Amino acid sequence: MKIKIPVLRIMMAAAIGLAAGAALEFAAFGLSFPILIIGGLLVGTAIGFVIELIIYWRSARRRLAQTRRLNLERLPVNVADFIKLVIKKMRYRRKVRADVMAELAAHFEDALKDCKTDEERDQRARDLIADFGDVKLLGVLLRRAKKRCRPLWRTVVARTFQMIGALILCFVLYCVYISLGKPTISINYTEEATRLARPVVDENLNAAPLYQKAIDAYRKEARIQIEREFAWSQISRTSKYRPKDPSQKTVQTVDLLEGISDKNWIGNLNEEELSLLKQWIASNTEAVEYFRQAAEKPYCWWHRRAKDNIVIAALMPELNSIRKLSQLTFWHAQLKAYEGDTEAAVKDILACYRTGTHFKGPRSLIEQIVGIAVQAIAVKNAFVILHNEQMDDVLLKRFQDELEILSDKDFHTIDYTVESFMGLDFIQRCYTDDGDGSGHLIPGRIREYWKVVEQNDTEDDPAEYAGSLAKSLAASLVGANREQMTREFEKYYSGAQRLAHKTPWQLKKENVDAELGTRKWLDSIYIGYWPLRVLAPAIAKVCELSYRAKTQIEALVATIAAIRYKRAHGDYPENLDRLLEADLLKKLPMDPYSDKPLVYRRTDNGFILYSLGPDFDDDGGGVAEIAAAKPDWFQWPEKGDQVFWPLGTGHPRAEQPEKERGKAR
Amino acid sequence: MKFESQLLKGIAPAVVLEILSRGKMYGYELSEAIEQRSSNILTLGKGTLYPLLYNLEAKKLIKGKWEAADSGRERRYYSITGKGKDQLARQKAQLKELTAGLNLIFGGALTPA
Repeated sequence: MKIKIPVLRIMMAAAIGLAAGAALEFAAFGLSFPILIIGGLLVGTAIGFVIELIIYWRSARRRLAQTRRLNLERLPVNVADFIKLVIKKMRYRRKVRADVMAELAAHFEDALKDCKTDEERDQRARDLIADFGDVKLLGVLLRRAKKRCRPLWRTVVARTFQMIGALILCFVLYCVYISLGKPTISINYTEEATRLARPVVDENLNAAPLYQKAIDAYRKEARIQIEREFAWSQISRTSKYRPKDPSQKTVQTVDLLEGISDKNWIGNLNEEELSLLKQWIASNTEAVEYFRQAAEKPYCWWHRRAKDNIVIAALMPELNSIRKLSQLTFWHAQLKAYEGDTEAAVKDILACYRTGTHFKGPRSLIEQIVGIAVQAIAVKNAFVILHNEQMDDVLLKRFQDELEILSDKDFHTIDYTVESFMGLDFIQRCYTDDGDGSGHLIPGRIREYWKVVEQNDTEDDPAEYAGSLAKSLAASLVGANREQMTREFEKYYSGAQRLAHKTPWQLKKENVDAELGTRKWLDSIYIGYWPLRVLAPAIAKVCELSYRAKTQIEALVATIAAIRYKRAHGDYPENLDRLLEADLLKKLPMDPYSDKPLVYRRTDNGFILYSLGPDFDDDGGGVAEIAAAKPDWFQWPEKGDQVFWPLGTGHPRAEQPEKERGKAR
Repeated sequence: MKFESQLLKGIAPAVVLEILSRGKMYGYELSEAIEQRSSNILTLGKGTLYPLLYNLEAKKLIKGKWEAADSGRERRYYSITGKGKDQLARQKAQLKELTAGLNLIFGGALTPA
């Protein structure tokens, strides 16, 4: 089948449009947004059609002009004008009009050829023109009649292009409609989040001002030089720390705490490190004191600032500082213990643990994670101090009692309430509110929202602005409506909350892989729910953290109880039930990875206490290599058991005679 | 005589088909033929002629073709098609019936003297 050149040209333009659309889509969304491909195809086709029209129009004008000269030059002026007017009123394709003009000209020429004089010719011409009737009506009748003459395929093509034009017009109008909406912001979620964290209004019960004083009094530690070995493959080729020889060590100047981070116990520091540490702790006495006072307060809430009260943009500058103050307090505790003041060390450990509780409950996920982390490190340091120093029986009992009270009072599963505010806040700021729960996504608002979230105050250049607006428009076109989005957000967060209430073992029994399931679900939902993909927080691992933190403190309590049992009875108990019978333990420590008590076994050197860990397998207390090298109860390894006691290898130092422990200093 | 336009409206296509059944003609020629062969009783307005021709062409009852004339100007000659002949035969039969019926009603007054 021979394809005409004009059709070829239009197809080529459509192909160019398709390619441009695909390139734009790949650059913007990575081939997951077909709207730009379809748009590119439509625009390319339209441009090709327009170009073809221009070419045809120009050539038809040339033909028509030529035809006009040939047809009309031999006719009287009034006849030529009449014919031109009829053709103009006809308003149809150039070729058809040229044919009609030729026919009319021929008719007049035939009618006037027998006239002998100019007057007769003029009169005859006037009569004929009158006989033809109204110009406009004649033009309409001729157009209608000629339209009926066109072949079916031409009619189909014409109607198709009309339909495409109508669709494009509707599309443009729809884009204008969705761009003009305004949101109705009715709830200040930043204030709501603060209200949830503040069960009382009495500021005297608020720990935040004291934390702020501690932050203001904090003095940064010194920097030291350390030698480090890096895995060759982990150092980028452009890094200045990359040695020429893979076996070479690098020397870096780092913060003191970073430099000694692999040394869990203060007794393992060298002289320089210990000296610098003591100086740093001494310079922060005031900060430590404020920190302890803050920890004694029952509540903690911060008056968040957020640009335009957008909850996701709420600033939390204190979190990083709290982490540093916690580290300060931990090392302060270790120093006190090292110097023989275990009572002060216990106070510091308890202060840190209480600080962790201040960031748990209905708060943002990052705050809750910081709270869990601070508590986990407090427990870890407690284990280290227990391992390296001996506490008297009274102090041990008091320590255990306090930990039991804190453990019973404190435990919170991860709370997604404030996280859900982020989704609801996005909806109220970026969707219209049509009054009945429905509404559409507003392109311009998406752009403004993300600029605030990213803290981007710079003015966009026009090209960048146009690009981001196009992306936002595309996102709005495929986006779910307000009602659907609200429903999906609520579904996600209520599902997350249900999962948070289940232990890892319960999830395993139900064959629920929360992380994989969530990821698969987010990948499979309609692309119009893209805000959910962007704003949805992690579920599985985060929920496990809360259970791990609970297990850690229960393990610590059980360890202290076992040590007390040994002191009272001469040996460690045969099993944990003996601790219950001896009234040294109120309840057994539970393993979230088996829903049974932690595994306890008396050994030649003492006892071992462990959890089955995330692999749910009892490896007999065997740990993964990485865990043996660097025990970290907060980041449990995926394989092997999580051993709480003993620390590392060998007999716990806390049970060695005093004179032998003194040799280490 | 100027007839009521509605009266002529129905028979104009049949008249054109009948004229063209006797040979191909161009627009002006057809218009003159109608007048002459009806002894100037029937005249087809020029404003009606060409739209009618195009409508008949759209219905495939006639077909048009450009042919060069002696004067150098091309003319569009119309000729009847097979479908047009069938249609003409049907319309002639109808007109015959109609004439007979009207004659009966008007008591033969419609027959020319």
